[in-house]
Amino acid sequence: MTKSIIRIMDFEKYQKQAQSELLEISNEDQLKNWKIKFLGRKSQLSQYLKTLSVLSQEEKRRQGLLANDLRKKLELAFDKKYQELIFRKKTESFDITQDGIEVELGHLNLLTHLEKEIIEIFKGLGFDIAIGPEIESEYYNFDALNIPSWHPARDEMDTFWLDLEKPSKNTKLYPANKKFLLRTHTSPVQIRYLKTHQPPFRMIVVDGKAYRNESTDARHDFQFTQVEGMMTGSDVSLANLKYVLEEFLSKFFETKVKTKFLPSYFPFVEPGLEVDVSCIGCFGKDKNCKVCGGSGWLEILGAGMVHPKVFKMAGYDPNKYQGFAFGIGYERLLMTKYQINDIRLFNSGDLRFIRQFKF
Amino acid sequence: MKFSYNWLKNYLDLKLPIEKLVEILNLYAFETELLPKNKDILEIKVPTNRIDAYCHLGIAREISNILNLKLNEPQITYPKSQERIKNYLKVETQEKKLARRYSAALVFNIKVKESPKWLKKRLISCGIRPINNIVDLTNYVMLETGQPLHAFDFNKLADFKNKKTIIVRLAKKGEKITTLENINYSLTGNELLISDFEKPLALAGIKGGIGSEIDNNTKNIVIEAANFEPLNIRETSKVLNLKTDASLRFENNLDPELTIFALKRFLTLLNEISQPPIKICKDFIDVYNLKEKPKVISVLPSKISKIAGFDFKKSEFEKYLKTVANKITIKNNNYLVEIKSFRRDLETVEDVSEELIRLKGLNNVVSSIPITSIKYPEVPKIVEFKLKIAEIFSRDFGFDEIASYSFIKEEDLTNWNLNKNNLIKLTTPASFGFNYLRPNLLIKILENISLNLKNFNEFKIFETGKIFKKENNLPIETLYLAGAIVSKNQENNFLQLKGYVEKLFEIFNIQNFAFKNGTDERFEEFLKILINNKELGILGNISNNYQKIYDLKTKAAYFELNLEELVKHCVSLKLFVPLLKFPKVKRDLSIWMPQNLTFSRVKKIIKNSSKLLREIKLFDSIKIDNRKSYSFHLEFFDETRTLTEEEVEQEMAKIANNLNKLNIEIR
Repeated sequence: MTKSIIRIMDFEKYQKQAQSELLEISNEDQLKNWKIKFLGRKSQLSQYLKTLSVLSQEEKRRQGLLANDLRKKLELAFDKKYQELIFRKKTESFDITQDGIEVELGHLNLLTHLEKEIIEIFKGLGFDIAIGPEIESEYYNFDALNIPSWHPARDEMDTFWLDLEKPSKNTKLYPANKKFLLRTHTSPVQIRYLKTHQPPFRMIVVDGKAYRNESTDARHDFQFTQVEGMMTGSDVSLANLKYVLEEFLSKFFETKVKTKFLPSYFPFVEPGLEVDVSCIGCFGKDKNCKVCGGSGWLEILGAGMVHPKVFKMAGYDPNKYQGFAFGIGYERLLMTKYQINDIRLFNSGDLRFIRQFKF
Repeated sequence: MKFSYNWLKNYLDLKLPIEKLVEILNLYAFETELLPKNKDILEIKVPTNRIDAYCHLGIAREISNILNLKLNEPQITYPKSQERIKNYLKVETQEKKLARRYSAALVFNIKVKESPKWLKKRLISCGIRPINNIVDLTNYVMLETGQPLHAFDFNKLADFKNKKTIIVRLAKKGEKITTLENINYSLTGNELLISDFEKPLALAGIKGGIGSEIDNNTKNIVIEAANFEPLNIRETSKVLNLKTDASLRFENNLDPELTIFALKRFLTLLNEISQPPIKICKDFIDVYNLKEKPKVISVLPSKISKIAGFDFKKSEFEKYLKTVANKITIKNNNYLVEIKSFRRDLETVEDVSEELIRLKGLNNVVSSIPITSIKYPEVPKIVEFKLKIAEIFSRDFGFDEIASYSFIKEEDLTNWNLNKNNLIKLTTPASFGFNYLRPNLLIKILENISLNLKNFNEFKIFETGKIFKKENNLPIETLYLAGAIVSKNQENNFLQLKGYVEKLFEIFNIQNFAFKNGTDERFEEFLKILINNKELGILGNISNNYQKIYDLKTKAAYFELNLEELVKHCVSLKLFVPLLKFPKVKRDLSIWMPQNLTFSRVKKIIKNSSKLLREIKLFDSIKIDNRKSYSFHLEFFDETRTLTEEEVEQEMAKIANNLNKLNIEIR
């Protein structure tokens, strides 16, 4: 190997080229590539330093010093450029006081959200979940609930009867020779459940669309949603009903509430009750409360002890079993909790309404 | 039902303010409101089983039980003449079961005139229009005792052998009657009539007829106090669409014991407001066809406590029991209670429990935790499935969940070419002209899109709900999921929606699904969604025609799925796949599509060309001059080794070769 192979590097040209390329750089990636090109292991500069060993001792030192000097200069230029890029990125590319980019969410319907809550709360209390058909037989909707064909309560229910022939024989869902209707409440599922389960048990009925043929206004709609509950055993009492309802309502309203039992009448319970809940707006302390109108109580649901005739119709000895049942309107609960002023919004499908509720 | 506070004071020494009374009635008896701007009238919702409280005396009795006040029964005193009613009038009840009791009084020499002020005022306050003293008194006694009365002009009744005869019979088919309001009714033959030998006088228990009514010249009157079988009255009232104060009381099973008492009250009051020389027959006609035996209910105190969840003091227990009892016999701590006849509602020990707990105060019920066995609750799979889907669509996919009515309108039938024979119709339409149950969710979704386009330009919505069909004359309801994407970009709408459906299947591990090309006049582009070759849903872009009908100013893609079928195909078992130990080799491939081939066909050809090709994903598509190009990311790998470059090149060549055979050009 001879000394003549070595070509002395033109440091000045190298530096000029590096600096002019650096000027063109506008982002970090380009800067990284620049560094590789001019300072990296495969750069001309690094390669040159590796070949110095063949030079004379003195020449080696001179070239070494020059090369290192150049390296320092280029590294300095790199740092400066890097700072510049970072600074520009921070201050010039956008205004950080802008609003965040809006996230588009989907929205669960309020009725579905409540259904989830109800299932969660009652599952927590050990209640089975049951469902039943929206098209019912008058047998389940009325007869079996101690509302025979002559009963005045049938008129009060404003039933949607269906233009269908009565079934000529028993089918899986429907008994023979009974008229079809849209269920006016979810109570028929109590009977369906009683016929397939042995007490003691506790259950709620969900997916509870029900229908009543009445004219609509802000407080009434002909289609609504109910949750029905029933607990039976040898000594399930009104006191137990009070406990279960207060637990449920306290969880739902997210505050400890009390209930008040008032006498009421439903043919399928005895005694029959209307249950009021202590006002969640004023806790009974504001005479001008908008939520309760100053009474301190909110009318929330109907309940009672399952009528012995209902047990008998389902094939149980009413002397052996007793229990409570209750029915709550989803819409009523939601209107109370969220101060919604028109029940018809629930079935309107209006996104201006639906999108208000995020969970 | 309206009640006058001042009237109630006739029977009770009531000292408390009316507001307090309202509160007490609400807590212990019936839902009660005070009419606005009125310090006298209570609106009380008396339940239909408490017919005994459909009158002032009944409400007063209830208050006396609650407040422990003495009840002052109304007086009965009037001068009796020597006349005997049976010398003038005969009553014949042909329908003994329907006319449970028929009592009548006869008064001579009355004078029909305006009622005294106090009487008119009381009627008006309870919502009844005063007519004349006789009619007003019959109404007054009804509001007081609950027993409807009817007055006939004695002289207008047909003579038969020098006697008048009232016949209680069924109507003849086609027989006509004109009521006091001059309305004609043609009868079917099931209606009970009060008649004489010549003509019908009244629809029994419902309404008087023309021909025997009291007028200004009436001198002699027959007062009827009857008791009719409830179902017949209810049926007639319903068929004729004629509800009256009287029918309301009879159809709720009025106490037959009331009649004579009510007649006596009428005569007492008539005497009070009349001048001599009225002449009241000394006796009554009383045909009592169906006298009931008193009910006896056995009441165990322990049973009452078990229902209430608290105990009664013995003295309290007996005090409350007495309010409903004629007689109580105690045997081994078991109370045999003979129930008062007016308490028509009490039949079982549970009914009695209601009475006792109510009088003691429902606010004495104290919450107590039920003691039960632990058991994990049963939850139907479909309930969880539906909620999970709603969560996925709203939370993961960003759709808004709508809810809609389960009905469609008559005009939807023509718009959508629906066959009436498969639809379920309501016998009477709901509000807004809804008269059929919806046979799909599509109609409701389109209505909803139309509505929301007023406020939003682009959105994604879904709904889960039942759809209804008639099959072999039986109703079938099925839970469906439907959704739509609304935006100007038709292709995106469709393909995104398809992507969501595919992702849904991926989440529930549903493998054997396929999309099948089809046509449907409701949609432009249209696919059927199959699982195991069974059609479970559809996917399509709404056709221009329907876009016009629903006045949609933008495009929309729609899909629906049968959730009850879908749930059967979900696989909850998910298994971990070991992470790949060897690198994947990635290649891109761009092709020009020939006209005659579909995307799915070409993708299949590529896929089947190489066993080492494990992933194929479309990442770009462009259209230039009617030519369409697709670009794919291809991934080659093997779980057991690293692939060499040469191997992958060979695989790429295989793919190119297969594509060339079909004249597919590689870009």
